[in-house]
Amino acid sequence: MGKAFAILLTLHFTVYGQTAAYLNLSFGGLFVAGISTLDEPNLDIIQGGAHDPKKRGFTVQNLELSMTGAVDPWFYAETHLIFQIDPEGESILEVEEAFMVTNSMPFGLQVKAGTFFTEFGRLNPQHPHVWSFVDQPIINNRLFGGDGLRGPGVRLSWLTPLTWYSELITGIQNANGETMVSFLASDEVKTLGEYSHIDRKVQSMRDVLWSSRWLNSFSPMETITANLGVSGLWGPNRAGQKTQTSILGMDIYAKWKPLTNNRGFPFVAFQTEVLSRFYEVIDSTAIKTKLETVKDQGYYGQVLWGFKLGWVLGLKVENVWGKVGQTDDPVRGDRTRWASNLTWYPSEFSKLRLNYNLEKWEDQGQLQTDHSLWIQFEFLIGQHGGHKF
Amino acid sequence: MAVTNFKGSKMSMKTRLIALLIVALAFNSMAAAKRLQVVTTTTDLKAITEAVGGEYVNVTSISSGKQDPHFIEAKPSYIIKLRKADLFIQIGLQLEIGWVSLILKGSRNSKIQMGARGFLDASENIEKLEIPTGPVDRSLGDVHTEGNPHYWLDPYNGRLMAHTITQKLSQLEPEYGAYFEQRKQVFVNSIDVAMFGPDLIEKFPADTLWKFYTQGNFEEYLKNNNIALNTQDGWAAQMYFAKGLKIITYHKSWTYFLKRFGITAVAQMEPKPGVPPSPKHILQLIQIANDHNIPIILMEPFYSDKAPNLVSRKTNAKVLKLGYSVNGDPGTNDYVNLMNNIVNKISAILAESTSER
Repeated sequence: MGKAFAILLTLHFTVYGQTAAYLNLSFGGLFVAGISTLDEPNLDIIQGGAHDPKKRGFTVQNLELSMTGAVDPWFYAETHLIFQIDPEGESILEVEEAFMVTNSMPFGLQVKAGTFFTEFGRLNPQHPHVWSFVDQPIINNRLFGGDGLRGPGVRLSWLTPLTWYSELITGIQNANGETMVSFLASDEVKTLGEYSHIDRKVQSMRDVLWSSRWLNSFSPMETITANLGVSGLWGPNRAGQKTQTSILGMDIYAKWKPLTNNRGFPFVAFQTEVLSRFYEVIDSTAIKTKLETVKDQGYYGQVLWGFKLGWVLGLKVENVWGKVGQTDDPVRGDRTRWASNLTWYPSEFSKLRLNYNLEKWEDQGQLQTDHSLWIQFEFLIGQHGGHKF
Repeated sequence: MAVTNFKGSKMSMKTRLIALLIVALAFNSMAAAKRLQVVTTTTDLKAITEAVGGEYVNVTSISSGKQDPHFIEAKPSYIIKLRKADLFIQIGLQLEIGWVSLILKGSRNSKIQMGARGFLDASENIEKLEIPTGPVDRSLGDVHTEGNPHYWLDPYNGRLMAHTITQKLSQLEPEYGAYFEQRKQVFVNSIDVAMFGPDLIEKFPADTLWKFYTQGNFEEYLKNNNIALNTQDGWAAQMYFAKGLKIITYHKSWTYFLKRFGITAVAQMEPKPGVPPSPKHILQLIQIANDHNIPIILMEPFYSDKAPNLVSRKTNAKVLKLGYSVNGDPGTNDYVNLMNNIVNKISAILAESTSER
């Protein structure tokens, strides 16, 4: 929804008559239930996000325990632990993020260190409960994996002295693990386009993930704000000892809201991201082994209309396409999704969402059309921080 | 006419004038840079800071005065405003809790972070009202655990805020301390004159008048001094007939104002703070408005007026939409004018109701 959430309660400790918030705790539960014309193995493929609805019936999408607070006068820290119950009923615990951020560096500089979501585009660094639809966009699933692009590392941000908001971010993170599917990934991650994977070790600075982002924000008038961002990723992949992946993206977020809004309503918000992946592979089927680049591209665009207090209508279109590899790769074919939803926020701390998805996808050369209807519900308890614009 | 510059070449009059202009602008910008850069969350804080700080402050407000300050979005443009600030002033008491920490952290300006020398919570010297005494959780709605934050609507608190801001400005710029103190006295005097009128302020010490007004025996004090309150005696006189009045407010935004002038809010349009009125609650309000013959439903322009209008149609109550911050309504460009607007509109609607009865 993109609006700053009020925080009305904090875990307070009374110390000699003063109140102090040493540790802010919050817990959020995100659930979805619904039906789909997709059968269960295909549902898992089409709803590729780890927090997407995974089966007919109920899905526990995200149970998130967040702990935040000032470390000392120089650092602020956040930790987000994720609990999930997978479609088979097994409980899962993940460390989603745990990082510290400087708050007193000169020249507009800021360093973040720990394990964190890569600041690429708008949606990747956001936690699932902020998303405006029940699932994450297909292009994000395809390029960043079900859990989003994240990993241990460090990043430097510079708030430039320009007259408008202009932030430059660059960082390095480990390129391996199941949250780095376009890079070194892990043994469990499916190979891209059925190209072979090799076991690749970190031997130089080319073997870690480098990320960059330039975010600009403009407010031509008090009621309108637009964020424009470009992002890039460069890192190794497992197709060969020297093969690389590059991902480039562009994102726009624009919002209109009148000054005399009632708790953030009404508003109209537009958001889009366009992403392209260039994945170098070694084609060993050719007479002479050669390096080629497999491309995947896609976008999503969505409009949200907060038409009355607590009520939001949403419409989203997504499209992805890519050059298929040596064999048919059902997770990389052309896909289109139309989604619409109606969300009711009884307060900033709960929501109820009815979401319809129309999926068009290819199955062994045949165009398939499927429909899904989901009801999502959420609660947030404890101290929950506001969200970045 | 031409002059020789240091390289020996000739400089025309036009070039010389341009050079002079550049130098003048440079000096001008240096003078401007000397001003304390202050960012406030609300226009009320901006107005008071400007009144006290005069030519030594350059004040920007995040809110324009028309928004609900609880629900301002932490936009990047606000972060830019804070980036080079020397002083940040907030209302506090959790009014801005949903967005202030985001823009403060985002600014990366260590001078104005919470607890730093350039951070000021203007509620420091305020006597807080409605601090919850029992257990609080979100089932009670948006309860401010540190007390009701709308304290600027009591003109006496306007004086205290000026005092708090003066202290901070003097701490940051000690060489202008006397200047700030003198301007504060002028500002406080403008509130005192607006509250009690020039005649009473001339006859009695302002603090004495405030003391008796706060204790509820102001009229008795005047009577003992053989003075009758007349229409020239400021807000005290204008609101004389409002004492003991019962009204309905949309949100508990007016607690401090109503207490100052002896008015009681018997109910709110919101069944709980931050919760929109339900049909059942509206029916109860109609009953309450009829039982107490409520003349006014007081609301801020950013709330929906559907429910208040519904209650109004079924009762004698009139819906009064009032901006509660400087620049929230036309003609409210400073703190005294804001209070003038509120007092004038409430007293006008009361006079109208009285004449109708």
